[in-house]
Amino acid sequence: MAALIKKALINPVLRNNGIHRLQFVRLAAYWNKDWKPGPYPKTDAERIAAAKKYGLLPQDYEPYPDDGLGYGDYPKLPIVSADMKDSLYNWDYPEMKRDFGEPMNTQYDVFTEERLSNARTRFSAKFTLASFLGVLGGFLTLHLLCEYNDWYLRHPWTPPQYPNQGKTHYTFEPVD
Amino acid sequence: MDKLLYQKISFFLWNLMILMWLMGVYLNLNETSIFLEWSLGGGSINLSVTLLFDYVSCFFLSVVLCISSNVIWYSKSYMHSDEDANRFILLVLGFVISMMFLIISPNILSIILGWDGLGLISYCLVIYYPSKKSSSAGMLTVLTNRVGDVCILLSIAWFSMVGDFNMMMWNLDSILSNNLWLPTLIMVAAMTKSAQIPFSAWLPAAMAAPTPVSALVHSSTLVTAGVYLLIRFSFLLEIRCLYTLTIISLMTMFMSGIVAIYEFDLKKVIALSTLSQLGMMMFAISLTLYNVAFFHLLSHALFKALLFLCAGILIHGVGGSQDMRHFGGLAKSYPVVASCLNLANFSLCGIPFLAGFYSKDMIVELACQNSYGVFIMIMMFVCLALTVMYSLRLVFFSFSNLKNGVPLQSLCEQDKTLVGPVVILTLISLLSGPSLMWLMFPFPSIILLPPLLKLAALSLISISTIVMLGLSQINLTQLNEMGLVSYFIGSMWFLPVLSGQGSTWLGLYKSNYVLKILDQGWLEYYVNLLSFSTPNKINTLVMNTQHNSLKVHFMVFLMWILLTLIYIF
Repeated sequence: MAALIKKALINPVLRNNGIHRLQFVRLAAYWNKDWKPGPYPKTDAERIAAAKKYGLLPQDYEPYPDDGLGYGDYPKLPIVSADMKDSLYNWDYPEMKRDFGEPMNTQYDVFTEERLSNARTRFSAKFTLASFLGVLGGFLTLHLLCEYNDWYLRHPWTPPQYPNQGKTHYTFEPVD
Repeated sequence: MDKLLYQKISFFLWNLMILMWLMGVYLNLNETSIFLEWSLGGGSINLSVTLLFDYVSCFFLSVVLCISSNVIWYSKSYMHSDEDANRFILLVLGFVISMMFLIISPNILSIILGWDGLGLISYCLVIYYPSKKSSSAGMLTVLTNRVGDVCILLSIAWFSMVGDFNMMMWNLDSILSNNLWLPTLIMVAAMTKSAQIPFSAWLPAAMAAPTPVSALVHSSTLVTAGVYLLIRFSFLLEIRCLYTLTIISLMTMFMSGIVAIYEFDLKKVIALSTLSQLGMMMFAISLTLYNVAFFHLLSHALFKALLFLCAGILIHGVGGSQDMRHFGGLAKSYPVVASCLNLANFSLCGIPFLAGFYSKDMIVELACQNSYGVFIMIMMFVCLALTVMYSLRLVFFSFSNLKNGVPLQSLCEQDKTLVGPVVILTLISLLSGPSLMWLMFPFPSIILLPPLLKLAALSLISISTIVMLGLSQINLTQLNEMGLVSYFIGSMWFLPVLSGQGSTWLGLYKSNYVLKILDQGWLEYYVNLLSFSTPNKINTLVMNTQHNSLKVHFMVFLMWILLTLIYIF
């Protein structure tokens, strides 16, 4: 249902062949033309010039795909979070762990020291959550098995053996 | 700064402690409470501030003041080399005042003032040292505590339905009889403050704070605020909440006990020990043993603060290292501290006739009398054994392991400012057990148990001691080769990862767009640029009226005449 609504109503308004037609918000901060990336490089010469502009080797340079959401010729750099960078290296800006003129990833400010980290961990996030919940769930299961069942109290028993089988010995009526 | 400032503050708090203790004894023996109420206004508006002094609040106040007094005296020497002593002492005093306000409040609104104050000041104390580790620990502490603050704020909204914010005036029969929201909110708030699962990650991380702060804040006062809240609001807790609390508290005890055996940071081991005892207190509350939980709270606060102070002296002595693998053979260098630390450890383990024995053994025996499943009983005894194991491990690494001893140790034990509070707290801790027992439980409850259960706790302590002594002779490095299990336990069941990056990554990732569009976008324009240009334009306009121009004067006069005529007619 949601997919139908999205296809019928939202896509014609917002997307035009995959490109956003309406922009509800625009950046209003200080901006100057020198910060604007160049157009998407189509020829080899343009690629080499763009790589040189951003201080990269041509073989390391890879722009974002030209799908209309555009970073132009800005390079698609790997995300290296601040905690993965060497703290003992003599950085030009040691508090940011950055050299002068180093090209920054477009999302670099999400991966600073006090924010997200994409460090390779020994176990994945899903594994850590699953193991934590699994251990807790295991203990909870053991508890529920022991709390609401008295299986550990049951033992083999024979019915009580009274003399004169079939004869009523007591009726357990209250004394008046 | 006044050279005797620390001593003066410590002396003042000590005197206040004696006053509170005597008042508590008087109120306890006479079974009375004192309400102090100040009211403003009359008629339809009535603002009142109420303070409650009963034996619970007076005893708790006296313990808090006793620990604060000794910690401040201890800090004089411990924080001697610190340049920012003013900030430290102000934060500590602010913390003590917040805690006092929380304790004497019968009113949920004033409780939250103290509660929030505790959280914020503990954040400032954790980030006291300017390092990345401290700042990340501080963020974890304050954001976890903030969850509890939000729960109390929501509970205030629920409490507004019962007519009064004072807990003595509540009538819970009509509206809140079958309501689970209120007890759940209060329980979650207490769990965040007292670091129960899944909010346990902040307590070991908060050991980045200075040791006096850990002794005061993270062992005896801040973490016990959650337990105190549940004791005060015990009438709200119904059977389903208590049942959940039983399981959570047992899990916390087990987790912290087993992680403490894998941990090498001395302060983290003591923090995990605190976590385990908090689980014990919550366990007692879940069994509706509110008085016993309070008794354990008081006795634990004293010997745990003592444990931290002794640890601080040892850390100072070996040159600042907190790793137990750098300790060894310290009993010969620090005999007094070693004795006091061992007495605190024995109290923690529940050795007979020390402080912890009275409270812990009572909880265990009363738990055995209840009709719970066998799993709860087994887990409780396993946690008792784990307590003994990590305590003995701490003693073994610090005092008896001669191989790792540091060759150069400083003469901390000659400093009376360091050793004095330790000795005083030891004496008070030794006396607190029996004295609180006689005051709070004048008529002993009859406990009927089969011999096996009666002797279970004591025999478990003995067996655990023998097992640990045996294990200390065996090379256990192959345990580390178990890989996943040892990694899982050593990283505290992945709780720091799940509490940190695990719970914040989605919000941070999505808020990146809010940052780019609002914070670095429109707010830059409207707040940064317009906030300069708009007053600038207004200023220019106003200045134009101040050129002593006759035209402007006559215009203003004409405007005034017109307005007056409009007003008259």
